[in-house]
Amino acid sequence: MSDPAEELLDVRDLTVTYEAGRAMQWRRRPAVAVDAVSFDVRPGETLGLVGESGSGKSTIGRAILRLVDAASGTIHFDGLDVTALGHRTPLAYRREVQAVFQDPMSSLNPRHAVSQAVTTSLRRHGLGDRAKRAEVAAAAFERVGLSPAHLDRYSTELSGGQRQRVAIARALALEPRLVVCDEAVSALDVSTQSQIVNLLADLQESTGVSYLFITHDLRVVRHISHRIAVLHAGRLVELAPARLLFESPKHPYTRSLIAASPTTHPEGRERRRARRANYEVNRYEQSVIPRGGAGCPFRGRCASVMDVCHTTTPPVRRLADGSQVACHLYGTPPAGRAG
Amino acid sequence: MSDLLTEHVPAPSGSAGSRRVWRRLVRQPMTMASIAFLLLLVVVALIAPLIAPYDPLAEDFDAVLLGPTAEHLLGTDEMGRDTLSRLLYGTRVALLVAFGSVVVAMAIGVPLGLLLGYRGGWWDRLGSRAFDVADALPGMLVGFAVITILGRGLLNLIVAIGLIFCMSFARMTRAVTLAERGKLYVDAARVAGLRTPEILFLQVLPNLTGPLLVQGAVFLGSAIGVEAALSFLGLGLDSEVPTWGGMLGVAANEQAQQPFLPFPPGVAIVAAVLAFNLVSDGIGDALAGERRKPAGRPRRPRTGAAPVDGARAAALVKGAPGAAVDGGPTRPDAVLEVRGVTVDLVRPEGESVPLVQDVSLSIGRAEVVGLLGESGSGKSMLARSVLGLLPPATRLAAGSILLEGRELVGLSERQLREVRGCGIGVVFQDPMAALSPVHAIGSQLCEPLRAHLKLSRPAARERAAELLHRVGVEDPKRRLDDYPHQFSGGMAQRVAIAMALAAEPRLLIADEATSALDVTTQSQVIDLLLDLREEFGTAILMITHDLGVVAESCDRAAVMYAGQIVEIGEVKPLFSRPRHPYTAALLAANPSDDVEVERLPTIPGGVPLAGQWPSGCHFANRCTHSREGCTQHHVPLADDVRCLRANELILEVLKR
Amino acid sequence: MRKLVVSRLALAVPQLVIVAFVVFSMTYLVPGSPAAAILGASATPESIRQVEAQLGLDRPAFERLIDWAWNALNGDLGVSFVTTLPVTDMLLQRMPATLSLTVGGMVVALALGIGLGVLSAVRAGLPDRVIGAATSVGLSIPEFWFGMILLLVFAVELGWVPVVAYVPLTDDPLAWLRGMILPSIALGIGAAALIARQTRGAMVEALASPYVDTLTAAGVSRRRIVLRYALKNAMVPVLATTGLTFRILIGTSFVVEQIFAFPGAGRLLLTSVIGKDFPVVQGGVIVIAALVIALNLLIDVSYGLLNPKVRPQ
Repeated sequence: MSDPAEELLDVRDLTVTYEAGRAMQWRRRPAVAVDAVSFDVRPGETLGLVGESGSGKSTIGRAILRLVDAASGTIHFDGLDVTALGHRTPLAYRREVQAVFQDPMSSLNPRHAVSQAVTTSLRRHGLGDRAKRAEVAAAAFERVGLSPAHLDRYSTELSGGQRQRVAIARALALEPRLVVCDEAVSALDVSTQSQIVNLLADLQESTGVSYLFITHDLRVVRHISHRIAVLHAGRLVELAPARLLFESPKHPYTRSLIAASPTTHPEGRERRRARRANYEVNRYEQSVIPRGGAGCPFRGRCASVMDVCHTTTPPVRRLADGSQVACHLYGTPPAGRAG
Repeated sequence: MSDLLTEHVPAPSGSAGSRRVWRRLVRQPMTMASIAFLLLLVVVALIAPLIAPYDPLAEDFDAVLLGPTAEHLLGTDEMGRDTLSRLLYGTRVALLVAFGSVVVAMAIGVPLGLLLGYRGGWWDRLGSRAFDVADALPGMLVGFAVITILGRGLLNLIVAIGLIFCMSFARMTRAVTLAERGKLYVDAARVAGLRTPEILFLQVLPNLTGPLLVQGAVFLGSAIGVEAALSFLGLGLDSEVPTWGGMLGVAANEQAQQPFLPFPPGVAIVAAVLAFNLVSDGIGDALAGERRKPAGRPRRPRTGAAPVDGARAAALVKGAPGAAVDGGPTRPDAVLEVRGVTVDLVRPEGESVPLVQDVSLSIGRAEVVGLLGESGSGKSMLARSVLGLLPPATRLAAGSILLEGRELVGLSERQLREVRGCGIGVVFQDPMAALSPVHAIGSQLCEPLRAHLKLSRPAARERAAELLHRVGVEDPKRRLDDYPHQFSGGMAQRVAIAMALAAEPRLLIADEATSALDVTTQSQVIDLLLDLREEFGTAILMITHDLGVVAESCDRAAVMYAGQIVEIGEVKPLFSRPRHPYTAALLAANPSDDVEVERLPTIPGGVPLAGQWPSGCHFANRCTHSREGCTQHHVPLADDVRCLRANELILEVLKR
Repeated sequence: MRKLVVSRLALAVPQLVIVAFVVFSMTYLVPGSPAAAILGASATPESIRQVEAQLGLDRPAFERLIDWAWNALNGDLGVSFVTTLPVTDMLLQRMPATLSLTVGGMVVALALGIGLGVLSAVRAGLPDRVIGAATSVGLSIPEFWFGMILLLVFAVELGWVPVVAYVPLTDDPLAWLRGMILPSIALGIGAAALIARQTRGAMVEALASPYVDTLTAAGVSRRRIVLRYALKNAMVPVLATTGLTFRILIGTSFVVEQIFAFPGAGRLLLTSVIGKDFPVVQGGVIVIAALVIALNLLIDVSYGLLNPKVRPQ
């Protein structure tokens, strides 16, 4: 593992469970949303977290934001073990870790003028008096490309892109060191999306903030991330530098994901279509393996499935080219280690 | 439906700003009249001694049980007391009890509901059980009990009614809080470090004021009713004290002698309660923006002033500016031929705003044609106009739609029904919402089979199972009895595709059919559609905002921007050599998974809303290539491009 | 389905126990001893103690609760302080009238409410506006007053129905039905307006939902979509509140029965409450609570039939 001093965020064996079952029942079974996931985020870096719905990617973000509790594992932020904190979250942590959510309509209070999104946070953190806070809010709005005229508007009066700019202004006004972007550009149109992606990149350049960029969109994640972690069924299957991941994907799931992602050049699409069928033997979703047991969660769909995949959960291994993969194709598993 | 419109028109400002809500409220005559009436009641209660003709307690045994007379305008009761005076004084008790009990109910119910809804977990489960217990006791019984314990009296009456109502407030507050708590702004507040009380009272509570006002007004009315009932039963105030319910009690006893007695207090109660209810409705409507109107019966596209037949539609198209060039020659082999279609939004004031302007498009046999556009481009409106499924307040203002040569514009609802499903099938975006949640998918899948192919029930089931198998649903016979929620998103979309193709239509419209799906599922569904195209020869209109979907699946594509087609052509050249600046900019702005650039090129600004389209070229204000002439005249679609500079521009495309 | 019934039953039993406990403890909150109430003005501390001993009020409360609960399970709700008749018999005499009235009101409310609500949702314009106005007025009319007016018009003025209406069902079903018409309409009018509003809202929403588009696009007739698909979806939220409506109707029936001189439980409870006749109050409340809980159970089960999402897998 890398030198801990270098890392801003260090997530080790994070497991998150949630209560399954309907509200009528008194007792509920815990279900595994995130299963022993480890990764780190360095200062000034963007780590992409990709996965399909139900992969647990958003839950990881919520655990880091302390919106859900970790069942086990640790999250260290700048040396502080966040999972060991009690019910209360220290204000300092709240200030340094911020979030931009997917749906900017719902992430802004419809009853408040949008500038309040910024000033409320500032007030809570005791930053400046009323006049100063208004000044900071105006400056933050300007920095994200909004005019002072937008300050007094309500969220319903702004376009989707403008609302997301407000959300970014809110996150960055506290000068955080890490921003969790949970599907932050997914709801936007292409032309707006590129504006927001550029804005995030510019802000990173000027402030040195790190992003945990959670998305299902491979095209966006490739563009914005330095490194990318791929999640499947709550487990980390591959983590590699962005270019390496796309040029030489290791895990069969990563390959199938990249092959499925539509590209913008129609040439060779028949070839890609034929190739897609080869990566996965069984493409129907019912074949998804129930979580929590031993064995590779992808084995039901994997074209390269081996006997060992049914009995032993593949550990995450670091390969020579710097990527990390959890797949039995890369090295034989140590005997007896499961799950 | 309304979602469809919101992407086109300026936001209806939703629930923003209490000033705005107030302005909407002021525009409702019924609400204002009700408020005025209630204010009048308050004044009457205050100045009752000044305006009452008699002392409400003064007995006159020479004039008992009178009907309306000149001296006693509303007659007298069994003790000869003046009904009008008692009615006026009764206003005091009615209003005191109404406001008092609602204050009591809110003071108990709202904090309780906030706590349960926000805390959740054990608190909530315990609280819900308490609600269940309360559910087993009729409110009237609770009223009996409280008054037995506390005795009669004004304050006790208020407490009793308050206790009857407080559970309703708690329940409603809990439900709204629970819904609000799931919203991201609460998460954002927590991420900002706000404390729980701050979140509850400063963030969540303001969003509760609307629903609370609505319910509060209803209960103000209900309180008057309950007070009347309790007083009527003799559990209210002393029978001496003038109350509306007490007067009704007397009326019930003396009705045989004086049938007029129940009317004055009864009408007073109905009027007061009605006024409170109308205020409640008014506030609800003002908060919602506008009352949700029924969709109405006929949903066929309402064409202009008079029904437009095919020939007239064609004439209309000819008359439209630039239309002669736009359509190009009719393709004889076309499955679908859309010519000069214009869809208008008709505002309540009567003004009409174009959503789709003069669109022409044709689809050949077994051809896959993409309709690419960002939100607000009008692409879904166009699809709906083809099906005759335009939402309320929109209309097909001009144009002609030919399905295998048959004009669809102006068809009756019955004729359209034959076309839908049989001639054209549709798959919508959200597969879960597109299937009725309370019907087994088998029964839904059988609908088109029975309607068009006239299959018997068992035969339809048989065929439905075959269709399910064809779209890749395992164990289809058993799954016919499953409900939509038992399917994953991708599987549900397969069911929707099976349903759209059940009656073997010539054309399938896929309206963002893969947008809500995961990447691997999306590619599976696209592959399935392409397979089905090859198998059945079905033409496909692929409506999407995703350049990738077009590139992966379409033979030809049309790019829409602000209601117009700006470029149309074969997919390969469209992506490698775009001729319209918008197409080129869109391609460039789309991050690619195989080309790395430092910065994504962007298009400044946003898609203009309907009604705010620039004159001339709609894209001119965002175009880096625009010059003076672009904004002056209507730009026609010429040689498949809607750009004045199409021939001189060499648009850069990233090298791959 | 059986699982659903069992799980709901498991919830209903503790619910009833808690209600019993609450009702029992309530009698301790009432100021003044029932013995004093029974003896009236002639009461002396001595005689009060004597009567209390007679009634068993001097025994520890917990003991009395257990006794009472055990007897109640065996169908014995004790003896009235005032009339010294068995409470079970007194209630059995009164409940048929209350049940008749409440069920009658419910039938009127559902039939009228759903009918008008659907009509209002599918016929925009004048019918919708007229029904909308009617429901606003319906929601504002006190049921007992409406009963008075109905009685005045149809029984006194027109003489179409008898003034004193209640005939037990077992005596003469036809006369029972005739007597039920006005009271049921009077009781059901407010609930009908409420259900009409809910139905309209739910129908409008259902008709605007994507599955209606899907069915329309598949060529299914509007009529079939409305009656077979939208209606069933719209009934889900309406049914969910039917239990609440029933509870309100029972309460309101206590008032309405006064107007139509129905020998229902309302009058009995009222006099017992005023006279501090605790065994009758306790018995009445527990019987009504059991009734409401049973009906809620029934509604939950039909809700499960209607809405597949709440069925246990």
